[in-house]
Amino acid sequence: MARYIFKRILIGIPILFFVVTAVFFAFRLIPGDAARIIAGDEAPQERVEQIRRDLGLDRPALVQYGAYLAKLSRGDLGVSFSSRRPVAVEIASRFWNTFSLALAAITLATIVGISMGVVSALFRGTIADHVVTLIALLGISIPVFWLGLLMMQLFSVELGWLPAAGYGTWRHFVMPTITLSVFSIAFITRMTRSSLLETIQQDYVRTARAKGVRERLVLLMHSLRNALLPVTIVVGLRFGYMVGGAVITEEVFAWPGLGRLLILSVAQRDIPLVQGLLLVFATSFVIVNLLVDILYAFLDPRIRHR
Amino acid sequence: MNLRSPLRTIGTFARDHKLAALGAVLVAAFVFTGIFAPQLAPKDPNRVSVRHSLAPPSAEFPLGADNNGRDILSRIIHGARVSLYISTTSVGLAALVGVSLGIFAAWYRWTRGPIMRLMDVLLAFPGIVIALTIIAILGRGLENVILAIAIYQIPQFARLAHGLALSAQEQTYVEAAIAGGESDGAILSRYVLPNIIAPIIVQISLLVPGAIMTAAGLSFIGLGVAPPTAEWGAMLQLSLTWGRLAPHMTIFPGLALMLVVFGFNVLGDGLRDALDPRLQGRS
Amino acid sequence: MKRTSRISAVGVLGALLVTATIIGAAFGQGEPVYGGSLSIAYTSTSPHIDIQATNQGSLSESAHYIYETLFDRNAEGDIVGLLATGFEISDDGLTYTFSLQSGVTFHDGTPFDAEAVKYNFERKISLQLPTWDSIPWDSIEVVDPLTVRVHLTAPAPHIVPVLSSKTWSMYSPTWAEAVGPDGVKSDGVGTGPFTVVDFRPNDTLRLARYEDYWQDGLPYLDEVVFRVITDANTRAALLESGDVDLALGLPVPVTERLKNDPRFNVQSALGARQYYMPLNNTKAPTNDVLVRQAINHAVDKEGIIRAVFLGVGAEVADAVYMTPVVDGYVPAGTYEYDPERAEELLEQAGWTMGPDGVRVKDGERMVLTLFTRRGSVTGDFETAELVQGMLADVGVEVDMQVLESASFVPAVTVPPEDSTYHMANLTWGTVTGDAEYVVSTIYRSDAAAPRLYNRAYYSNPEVDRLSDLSRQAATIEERNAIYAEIIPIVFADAPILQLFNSIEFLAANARVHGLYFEPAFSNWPGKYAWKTP
Repeated sequence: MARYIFKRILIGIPILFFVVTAVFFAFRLIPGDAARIIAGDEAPQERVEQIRRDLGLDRPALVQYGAYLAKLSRGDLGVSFSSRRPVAVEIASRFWNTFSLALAAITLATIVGISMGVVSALFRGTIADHVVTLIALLGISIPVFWLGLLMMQLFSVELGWLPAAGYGTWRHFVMPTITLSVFSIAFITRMTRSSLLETIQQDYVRTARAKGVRERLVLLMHSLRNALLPVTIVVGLRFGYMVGGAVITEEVFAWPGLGRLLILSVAQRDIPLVQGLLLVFATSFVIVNLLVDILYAFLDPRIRHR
Repeated sequence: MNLRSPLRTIGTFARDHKLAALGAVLVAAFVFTGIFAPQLAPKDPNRVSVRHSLAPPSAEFPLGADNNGRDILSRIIHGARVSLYISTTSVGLAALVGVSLGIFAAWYRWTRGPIMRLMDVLLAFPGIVIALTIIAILGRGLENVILAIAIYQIPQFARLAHGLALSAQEQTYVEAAIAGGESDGAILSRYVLPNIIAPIIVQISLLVPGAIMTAAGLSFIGLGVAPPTAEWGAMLQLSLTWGRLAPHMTIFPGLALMLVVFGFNVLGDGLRDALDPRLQGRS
Repeated sequence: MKRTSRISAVGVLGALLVTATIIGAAFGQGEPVYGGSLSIAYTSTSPHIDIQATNQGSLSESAHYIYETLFDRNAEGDIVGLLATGFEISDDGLTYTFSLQSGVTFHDGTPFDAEAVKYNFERKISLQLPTWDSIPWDSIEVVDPLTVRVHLTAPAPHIVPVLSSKTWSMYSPTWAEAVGPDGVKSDGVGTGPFTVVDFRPNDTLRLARYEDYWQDGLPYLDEVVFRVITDANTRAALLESGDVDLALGLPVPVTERLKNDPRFNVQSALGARQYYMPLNNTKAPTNDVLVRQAINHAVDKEGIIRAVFLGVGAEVADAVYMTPVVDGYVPAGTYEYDPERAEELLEQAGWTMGPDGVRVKDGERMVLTLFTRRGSVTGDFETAELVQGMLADVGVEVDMQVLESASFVPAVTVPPEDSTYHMANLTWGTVTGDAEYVVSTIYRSDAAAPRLYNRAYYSNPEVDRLSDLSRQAATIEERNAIYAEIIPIVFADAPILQLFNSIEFLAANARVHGLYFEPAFSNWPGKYAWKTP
């Protein structure tokens, strides 16, 4: 197992290296001037040149790249162009905001998604199944930003129940959590339903049923555990994506998270910060993938005993 | 094969998959609207008129006017054209590149490592993050949006095609063809490709709604096509400011977007069940 | 022989300056209450709080809580003394003697005195920080601890308005020396009513009451928290939900709604900021004055104000770059919305209507490139879209390019030969509240970008000559008389698409009292603010 984990980590490193290199050079090919942004609209040209020298942007790209890699190998993500604070600090100050939102959303999605999926599979063909199926279809079809706008209009503007935006109390979490989770709820529902139906058809379940145990209990006892294996993967992958994929939800609700930081740092050509953020997104994805694999191995006896 | 057979097939499909048939109707309406937008739109979608700013739905403006007095119905119709164009070209491009890469990696084993590692890199990010970064680098504009969406969808096709091509190669007729000394190109195009095409088509139908949504999302965060192009996401972005005074600016473009994506999703489900029994029951 | 007369700053300045228009008085009434925390949602994306290094409005909004200047503006827009109690001018206009407020200390305990003023002036000059060169410095002399004298090489009657702008804030010399030019970016030590507790760029600026503030009894609040919320709709939402007490730069639909809501107070006033689009005077076809005038006639300014600003968020501009609150302003006129006149002018310039509805001349279609940002100020994008639509009506195609600030600013800050735009969507703020800033940094041909802000690359030798002449004027009146000649000339040359002057809004929770809004600087002195529990 340890060897397997080690191998997985080794696979992750070239991914991260590629990301760093691609972003570094891509942002140097394009128009846009970090020094000018920092200096401001009305700053004199000399001031801009001064800032450019301060940031080391006047050195050749390869020299800058080498310096960046050297620092990165020591775990130093560099300093944000715009705030002059360490990139690690900038990211850390926002990481929890995004992480907590993603955690809330994936929890909601897992509970609601699995429940709906189980109901749908157990009562296959009934009206309950059709309703759940339709809800799930709408869930993967509704544009998240539109859902966010509609909820904001209803619950904040018309009814005044929930704050329209920002980060703070649990009330701030309600709408962003629903918005971020709605696609995952639908996805997990569909996954649970089909996986459960597939498992029910399998032989050992039929055998158990033949022994005369009450049918629904059999389903829950025998099928759910096996059926939830693929669901585990889906939940894990969705969570891995949520850390970076909350961009639009964060934008709608002005959530002070990593996604908004990415939009802002891209706009400000804050290359160290963009690189740092993309590294964090890629790393969290790689880690979640790894955890999912381990969990999967742990849950699935066929893999565990191998 | 007579003419009635495919018609009957479609008829059977529609009977067995009522929801999918509804999806097909929605998709057909979307495609039709997109193609004939200039003929269908009652007004010039970009014609501003400060006198009609925020006008509510009326006979003159069936779905109302936006903050610059532009006809929302005409903008939604033209928006369909933009969405159709972006989604088909980007997914088509992604399919072309992705399937080629996938087959290549399966056929020439030494290319497998580099190609699949590259795909791993792309898969490590949510699509919107990749698209956003690419647009930030290349700039806004229709072509760049298409490229940005295509790039993040390439791995979906590459992985699928790679797996399918690998199993196709193990088929006896392919082995026979190799033994018969047929060229690589001939084998790939005559034996491998036709055998993997059905799941690829299903994959295309499943990725188009995602492309439509991402394009709208990019416009919503201000990184989409250039103004004044009528685009659904861009229309919704305006409604962030003006929607409270004119709810029609929020409701209609979002509804159009949802209906189209819904149509593709249910059609895709139906197609998957009908065309690709191996994937049945999977999500 | 030198003759000086000692006069109270308030009296003289009141007479010198045109009174700014103030709509609405201070918020709330009653006996001030001490304590409490005020949270403010604003737009600044400035990565630093180094106010001496910038003259951007968004930073000055928070700077005056931490720092103070020698002069300030009151609720009527008049210049009054703040850290200076008065000043004398020599007869030749070359020597200014400022007397300073006694008993003032910086947050670090350093006393505020003539040495501190000298240090700050010299800091601005040696680092060449914004507007340092608008004053013809000769030398700075410490007369006694509370008197500082400035010797000039030419008369500069605008020195007082310049020194009242926030970029001339006083830093603690001890602190500024100790931390160096980078250290002043992330912290602040001034004489203002609040001290810096914590500054997180693009996030929050947390301030606490300065217990030893020199104005007795002020400030009332214990804490002030600035929150950077870049999205205007979110700022509105936070204000409405009670998460913040005060919000700036709200969309007009929101302020209009809040006006009718008893839970909120809204103040508005004409500011010193003008929406405009430079028309590239060095690039065909906008190098033709007829074309530039035609563009001005083709755009319905009133219509845009109705659609984008709901008729209340702006007023049609009647002078190039200058709004009525600027000292030295004279109305020059507006280009009436008259599409027929615009078409006539274009015909006269040789541009005839082509088959596709776009005008042509010598086989060339009339396509103008317009650079714009989105959301950098209220309604910028909406305005650009309407201008595009209105120009299409007279046969001018506009290729609109929406750029991020990171690309936009460099693209419009280039020498004329490198410029790729015909039009750019900008606003101009006269940060000193004085016309000298306009004439010297945007009218003159030697102010052409990238050196300064003349992004239309406008050049008229007569304007340059008159501007040189105005620099000999010893008094504001004499100088303004010359400006009154310059302003109509610039108007007739139509260097820009002259749009409208913005009306600034300040919206607050009804529990907030005591604030007044000074629009020339977007100033709302927090030291007077108090909050009912």
